[in-house]
Amino acid sequence: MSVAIAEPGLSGAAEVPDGSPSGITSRGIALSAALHVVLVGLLIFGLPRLFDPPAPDEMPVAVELVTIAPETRATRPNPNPPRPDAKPEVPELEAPVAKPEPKPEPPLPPKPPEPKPEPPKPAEKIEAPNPAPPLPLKLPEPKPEPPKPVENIEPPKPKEKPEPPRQMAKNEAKPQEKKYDPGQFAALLKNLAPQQTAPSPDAPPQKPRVASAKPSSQPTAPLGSQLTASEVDLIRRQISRCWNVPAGARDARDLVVEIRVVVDRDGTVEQATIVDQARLGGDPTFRAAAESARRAFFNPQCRPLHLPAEKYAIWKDLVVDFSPKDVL
Amino acid sequence: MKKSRLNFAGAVTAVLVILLYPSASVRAELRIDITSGKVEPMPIAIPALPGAAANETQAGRDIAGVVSADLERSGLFRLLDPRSFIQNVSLSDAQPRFGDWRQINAQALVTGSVTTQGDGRLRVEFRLWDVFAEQQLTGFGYTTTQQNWRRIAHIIADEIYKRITGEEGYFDTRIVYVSESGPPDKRVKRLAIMDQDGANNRFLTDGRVLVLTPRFSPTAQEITYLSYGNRAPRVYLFNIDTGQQEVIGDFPGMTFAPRFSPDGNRVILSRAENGVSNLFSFDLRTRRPTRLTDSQAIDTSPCFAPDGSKIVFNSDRGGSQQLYMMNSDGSDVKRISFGSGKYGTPVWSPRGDLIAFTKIDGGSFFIGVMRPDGSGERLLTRDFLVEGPTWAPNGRVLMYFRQSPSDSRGHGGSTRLFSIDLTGSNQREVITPQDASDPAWSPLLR
Repeated sequence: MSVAIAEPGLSGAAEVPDGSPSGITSRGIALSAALHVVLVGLLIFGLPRLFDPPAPDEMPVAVELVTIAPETRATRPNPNPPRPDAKPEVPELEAPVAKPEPKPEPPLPPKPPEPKPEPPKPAEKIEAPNPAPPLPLKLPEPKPEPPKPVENIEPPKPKEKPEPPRQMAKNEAKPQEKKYDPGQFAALLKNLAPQQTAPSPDAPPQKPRVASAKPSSQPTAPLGSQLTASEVDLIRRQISRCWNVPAGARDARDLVVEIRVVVDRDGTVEQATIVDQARLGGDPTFRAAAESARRAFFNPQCRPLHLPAEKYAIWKDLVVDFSPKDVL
Repeated sequence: MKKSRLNFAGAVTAVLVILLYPSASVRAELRIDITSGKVEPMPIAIPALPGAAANETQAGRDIAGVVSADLERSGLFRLLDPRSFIQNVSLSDAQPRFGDWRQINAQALVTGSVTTQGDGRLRVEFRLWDVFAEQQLTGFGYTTTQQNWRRIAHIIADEIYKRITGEEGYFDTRIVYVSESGPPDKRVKRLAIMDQDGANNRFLTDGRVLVLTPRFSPTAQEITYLSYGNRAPRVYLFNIDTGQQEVIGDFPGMTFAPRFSPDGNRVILSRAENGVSNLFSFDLRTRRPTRLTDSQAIDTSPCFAPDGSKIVFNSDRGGSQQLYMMNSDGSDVKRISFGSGKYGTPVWSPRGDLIAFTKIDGGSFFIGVMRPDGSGERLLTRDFLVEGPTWAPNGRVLMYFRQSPSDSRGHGGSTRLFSIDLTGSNQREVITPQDASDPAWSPLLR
């Protein structure tokens, strides 16, 4: 494109000075020759650019990196900040104790048992045409067990993603070895903190979350790395493909759902819990949106999630916020 | 010294790392924002509801069929082919074998049963399951006469829709419309009513007089409409159960474009006199009219907000036909449509968040929606002639009529009903026995 645009500009500039008809032939030839030289030159310079493209596949990732960069940038300054926070320290001490019980999980299991939403009342009204009172079904008491990982699911669309299947090696503690700035890790948590506080107002019953929020052990979490922006983007795209957006729902744009996810070492989601349990009961639209979000993790296309095995420690506990603002 | 100090420091660090690593890793919460997703119908499996006797089995099959058709027509569900089902659901199954349903990619599953009670009535039960989570989402039982199975099917479809989308359903509803037949110069127009899915169609008037713009009352038991009964066109009330008709008010001149207030106690309409039309509210209890507008223009198509506080209407008082909003007492009139072209037939969504309208621009007709303040205009469909939008009671789906162009000899030009999702997708024809126009969607029937 740039070449094409350049041409008219050059020729136009050249012709104006010419003026006399006699000079047109000789000068014209010279000019055209010059033009060709320029063209050739442009082509030559252009060619390298044209050849560059082989790499474009990677490029888009790089571009995304830039946009997300702000998160990572913050990593450095943090090594110190963590301490000023002071708060973390207490929890840190307790941390070892907490080790046996992965904090957030315990509270979660009990939540799933929300399955008894049968208000038989509507049925009664419906029954109006017929005298007989509608009997609410006795549910066979579906065990509130968290959804078990689906194993034999055949994805309807075989992994369209040429995702580099990350080697799920045994490098669990690897993060430490990766001499990443301890600050980087701290930054990640620091970044999370404000986000956590934001949603909390709407979600009173976030005990698990509170628990996890306090022990912001960022300072000591020197272990390694955080997910790179492109890794985050990869997982983001994968989940997006599994999520059926509640389009058309009233104020759907404002329906933000927070799901706490526990992931297996192989990337399979073990548990997915809707954080705002209180709102589930009273707000059917939210419940529908929340369940659609949770369902994403049980979609065959999202089992397993494409996460770097060596960073398991980082992503074993995920908090995913769903908001359809980009779609609606 | 130095070396030992280093070693000591190293040991401390190591201990710290060992002690803190687990907690750190446990607490390391990675937060990811998902701001986009796909918009696809949810795969759902609805096997025939099993029964013991032949009539029960038949009813179970019929009900499953109607529920499936309702959900499929909404565009939000994809019905899985029964031939792909692995588990053959029977009466004895307390809980589905979820693995079998995951296998065919069902995300939701409906099971249930049909039994006959001692008094001969049917007992219909259903359960909706989340296949991934292996949980029951909802479940109800209904008892009804054998003939009423279709209604039960719609009610079940509404419950499923409600549980999955979080919004009320709209399947247990009816449509009143103007059924048209005959050549263009001798068009016969009759009031007709049918179930939302086109079943149980019946005619309410015999076609001897022209009828237009029927609208449901909030109770769905009455209809107000325009009829060319004696001489002048007048607004009438029609009781669906009794078949009784009556003229609304004793207005001089012509009255038209009626619509009920949300509480059903009033009808607002347009009255033409001396070349101008103004809006009136007619109280059905006191039988007294109240003037709402007093302009030298044509004000028509008034429609209440669902909370009754405001009225939207169209008027050419500003030169071209545009949408205006005012308080329900006629005060504080302001224009809300500012796009190009002409706007008409505004209809407030039962949900309150949008106003649907017909728009004529550049020689085409459009059905569109905008927010009550006039912002966010979105055109959903465009054609030679589309008009008369009406909302499903949940404010999620619109129905309207479409007339195709007739040829030079006046043939063709058929008029049909269509429905479309609020998102602009899933446009479908609503099958009627004859040509149809001016649809009006009833509230939920319960």
